[in-house]
Amino acid sequence: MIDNEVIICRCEEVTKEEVIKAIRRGANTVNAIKRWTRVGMGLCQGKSCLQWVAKILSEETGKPMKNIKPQTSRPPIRPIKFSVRLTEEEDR
Amino acid sequence: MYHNTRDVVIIGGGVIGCSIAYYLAKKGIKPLILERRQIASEASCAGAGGLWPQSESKGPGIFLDLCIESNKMFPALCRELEWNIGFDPSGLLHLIEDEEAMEESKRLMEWQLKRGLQVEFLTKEETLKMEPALSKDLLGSLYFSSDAQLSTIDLTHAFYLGAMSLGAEIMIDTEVKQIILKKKRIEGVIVKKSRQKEKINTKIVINAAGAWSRNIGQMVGLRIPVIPIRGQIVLTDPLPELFRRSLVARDVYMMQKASRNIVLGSTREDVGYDKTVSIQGIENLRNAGCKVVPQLKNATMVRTWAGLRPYTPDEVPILGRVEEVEGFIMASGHFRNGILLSPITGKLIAELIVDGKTSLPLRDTRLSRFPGYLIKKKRVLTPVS
Repeated sequence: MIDNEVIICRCEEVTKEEVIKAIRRGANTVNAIKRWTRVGMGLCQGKSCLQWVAKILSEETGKPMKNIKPQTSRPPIRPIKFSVRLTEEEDR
Repeated sequence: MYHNTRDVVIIGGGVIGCSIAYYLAKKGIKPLILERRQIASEASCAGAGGLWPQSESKGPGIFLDLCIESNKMFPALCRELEWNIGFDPSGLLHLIEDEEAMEESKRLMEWQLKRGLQVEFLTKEETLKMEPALSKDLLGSLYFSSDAQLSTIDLTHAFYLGAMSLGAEIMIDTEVKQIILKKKRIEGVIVKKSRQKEKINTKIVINAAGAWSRNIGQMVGLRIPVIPIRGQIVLTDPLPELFRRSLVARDVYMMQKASRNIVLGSTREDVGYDKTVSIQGIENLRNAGCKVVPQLKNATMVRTWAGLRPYTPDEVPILGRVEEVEGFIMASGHFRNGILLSPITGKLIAELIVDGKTSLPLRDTRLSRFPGYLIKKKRVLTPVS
């Protein structure tokens, strides 16, 4: 198993230990762990790390992986430049 | 295991519920928080974190008094709470975009100076000197030096940890299904947690259910005029420091947070319990932001979200006892200022319960200021043949 000091979320530099601490404080969902640690709140929005978080949550609580809900998805799927127009309407 | 009797039950584990739990625990009461989901999972995690007592007030009155008193409590809270809340007393610029805004700002400044509050008018040149990234089309600004910002989630967590370390308890994933009344007195609540029902005896119930507090009111025959108002928010990637202070324009407010991301908020929409974001809402915020800070055009949007703020018709929260239901206490309807008002709300409700009197009068925050707050039993009409 991975070392506790390993960085789970590279964007926000969150270690496995911090994730475990959040679970011990009562976080029992991926969303709650995110709020305690900022895991998955960086540029990649958790694309690589939140699977790891779910796995750690499963190990720590004994909840099977299939019962762990993924994070609430927040648009956009990929970062979008502010200069890109989203609606068809012309700017005045 | 949980015991079945509690001195005080708080419904809602948002910033208001956690603050009340903290201030009660400081006075030696060990309350139980009942939370439908988890700590800070609704409006308390959806705000931008502005502490703006002066620019959010429309005139003198109880709302302003609550905001000013609450804002004063943050420096001490930073010292006593063991979790960092990211408090940043960096001030706020209220941006003046046109002549109409200039007139409004003059009126705002006039009554605030008369009230003895600190506010300063800055010319266009002075504004640009303070925040060089601002648009050169602005006419000027009002500078509120005592306004601040913080991290909303961390504040909620800080109150929660503080309360728990003093003996408060919480049940998460626990929904209140019923409030038991006997002769218009609170006797207890019935909760549901993972399909199991449980009864908790208590004589005091605090309704801190935010945008859902209307549902709790119905359980005791009260019509609570709180509705959810959706606020959409946009977050950029971390950027080099573009500005320091909170910026408030007509259609957008912006803050560059400690993480260097810029947050742009927020819409005000009456769409029920719908927390999705709309492309139009996001684009309006972005356009309004780029108008006052032109360099934002180079930013990247990484996340958007929406929260449901508990709105009341007069935009003043509902705090205090309700005469008709003994043991039922309101602490809801904080709309856009729940974060700012959380310390004073916790303090006043704890005073009300423990000391029987409060350091600020709660006369103007009573539920009974709204006509029709009592739900009358429907009479069954016999059809006329």
